[in-house]
Amino acid sequence: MSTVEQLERDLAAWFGETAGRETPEFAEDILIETSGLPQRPRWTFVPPLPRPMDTPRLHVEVGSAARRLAILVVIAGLLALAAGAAWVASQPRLPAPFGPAANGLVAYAKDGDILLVDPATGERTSLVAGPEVDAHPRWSLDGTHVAFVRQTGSGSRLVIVDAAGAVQSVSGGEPLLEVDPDGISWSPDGRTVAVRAEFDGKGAIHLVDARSGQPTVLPISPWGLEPYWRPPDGRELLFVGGLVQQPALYLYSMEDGEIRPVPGTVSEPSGGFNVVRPIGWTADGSRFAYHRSAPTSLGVETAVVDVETGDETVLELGHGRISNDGSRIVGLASDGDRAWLCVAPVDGGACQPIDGSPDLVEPTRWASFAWAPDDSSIWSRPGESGPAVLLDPDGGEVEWPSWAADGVDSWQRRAQ
Amino acid sequence: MDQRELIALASRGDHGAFAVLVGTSISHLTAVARLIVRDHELARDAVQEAYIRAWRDLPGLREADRFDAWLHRLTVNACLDALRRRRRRPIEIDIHPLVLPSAVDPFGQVANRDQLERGFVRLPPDQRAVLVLHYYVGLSVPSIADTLGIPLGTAQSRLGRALAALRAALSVDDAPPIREHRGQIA
Repeated sequence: MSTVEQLERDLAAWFGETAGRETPEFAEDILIETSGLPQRPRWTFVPPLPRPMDTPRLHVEVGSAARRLAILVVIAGLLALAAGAAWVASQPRLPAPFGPAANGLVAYAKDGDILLVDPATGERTSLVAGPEVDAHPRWSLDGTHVAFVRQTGSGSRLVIVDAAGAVQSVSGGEPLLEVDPDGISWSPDGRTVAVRAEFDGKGAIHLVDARSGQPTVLPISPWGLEPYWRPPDGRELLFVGGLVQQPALYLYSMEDGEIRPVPGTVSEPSGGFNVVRPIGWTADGSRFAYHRSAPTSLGVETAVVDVETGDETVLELGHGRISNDGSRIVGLASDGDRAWLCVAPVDGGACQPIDGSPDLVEPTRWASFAWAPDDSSIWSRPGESGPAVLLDPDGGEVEWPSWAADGVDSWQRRAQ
Repeated sequence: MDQRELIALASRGDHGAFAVLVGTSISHLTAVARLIVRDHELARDAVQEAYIRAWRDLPGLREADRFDAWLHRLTVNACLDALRRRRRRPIEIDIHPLVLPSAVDPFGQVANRDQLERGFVRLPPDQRAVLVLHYYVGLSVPSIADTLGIPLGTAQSRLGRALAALRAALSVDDAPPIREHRGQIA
């Protein structure tokens, strides 16, 4: 018997042993819940019929119609003028795509809906609700739109809505498969969203036109991970590529499609695999940070690299996030026994532990974190779900604000 | 009353007929969901979601013969949704190779159940699903493609990759690899 046959046999036996065939106790719950639910009308499942050619015409006098038309045109013109004036007067200032910004609304997903909460008032509003399962909201860099992932029967769609929840576009083409929530990244001009998802069975970066939903798959397989648009204009996209055993960072030119490896980031070949992941850019686009495998107690270290000179500064932290002003990085540090969050200057120096963070990180050894738009705090979600906390990068107390009780997915940037 | 009649009645809003359909399929679908998500609560959520969608969208099912495949599809998709929702952020980034070089063949002897469990839960959800549909439900590859609404070649390659990935995961089970997670110390 071949090893594959043995594996297949073991798998089938293990499935049979662990499946369980008892009637679940929640069958009654399902019947109670569905008994109160209406079914979708049958006609909603069929495409609309073509309009019949013999639609009866309205019988109106020509002169009357012309007068009405003229009046309507005048009214429409006046309304357009008024609306235009109101729009100009009310048009909010937008933040620059990179650099510090004012803190706006926090977007998060809960029970398949997208909600917003105002950290200043605690007021919660629903951005997108309905039977669809939506998740992973991401504010555009100017804070005017939100992209999120909508689960469909065979994959996902990227949906773009404005700040009021009106749909601007839905990604077209084949459904996106295995969308990486950390791999959703708005371009600086807000016209494109880069999404890391599967294509043809491999990881790939899809560029989705925010206005039309038209997707384009970049020819950078097999390992496109977590794309980062290079400030200030997003003409290049930084991503992880290369062989699994020898990954490296690459830059994809949005202008000519050229792909070039970033010198110094190509790791040594390994019998296992190496870790190389981007952390982010400084706001001026002159330097970027990434972490890589290293013989440290954490297993990785962070390098801040000058793109032009190749000079790099090494920091003893990993899995970091660069601040909006580009001066600091928050990341994880460890002595081998304990782990904590710390903040280090990008120019080098000690990584200062954040008080209270070991208590957050240790129980699960998980933490997601990011800077608030104004860099005054770092939100962190210690576990895979649940409330987020606010950490003070300058050493203040850990806060558990009530508005973050359902977590934080993305924080809107506003003009300062 | 046979299944076709029950489906016809249920699709016209007969909740009693739907209850019979639920009663005859829920044990099996719950088992499928448990195998895919490896968590009782998640499986329960997924199965509930699948039946709610089934009830709501039953009037749109044009071929009664496809009811079982359709239910499997709803269940698998609900499982994938449940796993994605649970995953959220931080996300485990699967940068590990599908086939890691290995000096030893882990299946020179029968794999123990713990190894299988650990290896299986490392697989991406879609690969778990095809393994369950093939080796537990007993669906052929074309039936898997039909059930999941994916091309035949995709189903074939996904199953192949799932087996290869399971072998690879088992091969590194004894020697902890450097695994990359968002924000997790591996």
